[in-house]
Amino acid sequence: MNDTNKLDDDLATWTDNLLTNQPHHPPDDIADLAGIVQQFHDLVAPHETPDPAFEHRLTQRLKQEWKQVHRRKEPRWHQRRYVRLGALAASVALVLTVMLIVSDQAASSNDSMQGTALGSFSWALVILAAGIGVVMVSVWFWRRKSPRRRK
Amino acid sequence: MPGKNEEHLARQAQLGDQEAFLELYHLYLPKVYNRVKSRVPVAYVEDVTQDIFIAVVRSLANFERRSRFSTWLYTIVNRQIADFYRRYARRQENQSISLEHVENIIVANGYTVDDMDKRADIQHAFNAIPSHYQEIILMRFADGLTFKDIADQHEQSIEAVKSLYRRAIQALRDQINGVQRERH
Repeated sequence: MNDTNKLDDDLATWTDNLLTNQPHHPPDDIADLAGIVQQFHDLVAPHETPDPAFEHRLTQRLKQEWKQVHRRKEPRWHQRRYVRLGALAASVALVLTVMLIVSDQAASSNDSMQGTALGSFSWALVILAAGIGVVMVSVWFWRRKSPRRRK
Repeated sequence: MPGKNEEHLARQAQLGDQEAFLELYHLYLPKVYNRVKSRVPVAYVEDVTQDIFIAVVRSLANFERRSRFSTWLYTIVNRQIADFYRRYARRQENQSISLEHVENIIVANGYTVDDMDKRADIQHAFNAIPSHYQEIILMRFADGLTFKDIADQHEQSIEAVKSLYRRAIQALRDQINGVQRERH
C-alpha cells in the first residue's frame, strides 16, 4: 500500500469512527484533515433529526399542497358529460325532424307539379347526407371538447 | 434493496398516491434537512427545507424516471438552495435583514455569535468547493451512506471513493484557510 492509499484509508476509517460515535485520536499524518472532518461533522450534526414540531407543521403543509395540486378541476356547465350527451341527442333529433318535414314538403310539391319520383329521391338524399354530416361534426366536436378522463 | 422501494414509492406518488408520497417524504426529510443545514444559515434551514418539499409536490408529475428519484430530488435541493442565496443576496442589498433579527434567531437556536461565524466560514468554504466534492461529503454525512454504498452507487472501486473523499476534504480545508485569511 503506498502513502496516498494509506492516507485515504486512515481518513475514511477516522470518519467512520466519528460517525459511529467512536472517535479516537487521529494519526499524525491526517490530523489537519481530521480537524476539518470534525468541523464539518459539528456543522451538519448528522445524528440530529428535524424538530418534531417542524416535521408536523411541514407534513400538514404538504398535505394541503398535495390537495391543491391534485384537486380535479370542476368542468364548466357546457363541458359536463351529460350536458354534451343531451346536446348531441337534441341535435340528432332536430336534424331528423327537419329531414322529415322537408322530405314531406318535397313529396307534396312533386305531387302537385306531377314531378318524377327521381326528384323527390334526390331531395331526400341531399337531406340525408346533410344530416349525417351534421351528426358526424357534432360527434367529432363532442369527443374533442369533452374533458379528459383521468387514467 | 432500498433504492428499488424508493423508485416504487415515487411511481405510486406520481399516480396520485398521497400515502406513498408521505412515506417518501419521511424517508428523505432527515437527508434533505442535513443537506440544507450544511449549506444554509441555521435560521433559514426550515424555510428552505419546506420550499424544497413543496417544489417536489408541484413538480412530481415532471419526474421522468430517467434517473434515480434521489438524483432528481437532490437537483431540486440544489436549485432551491441557489434560489435562497439569490433572494438572500437581494435582501442583504436592500438591508431588509436586521442584525437584531439575525441575532435573535441565533440565540433561539442555542448558538452563540462566535459559533455562527465558524459555521458561516465552513458553509462558505463548502459552497465554494466543486460539486462532485460536495456530493461525496454529503453522501457520507447527510445521507448516511457508507463508503461501500457510495462505491456501489457510483459503480466505482471503494479505493477510488476513499481517494475522492480525501481530496474533497483537502479542498474544503484549503477553502476554509482561504476564508479565514480573508476574515483576518
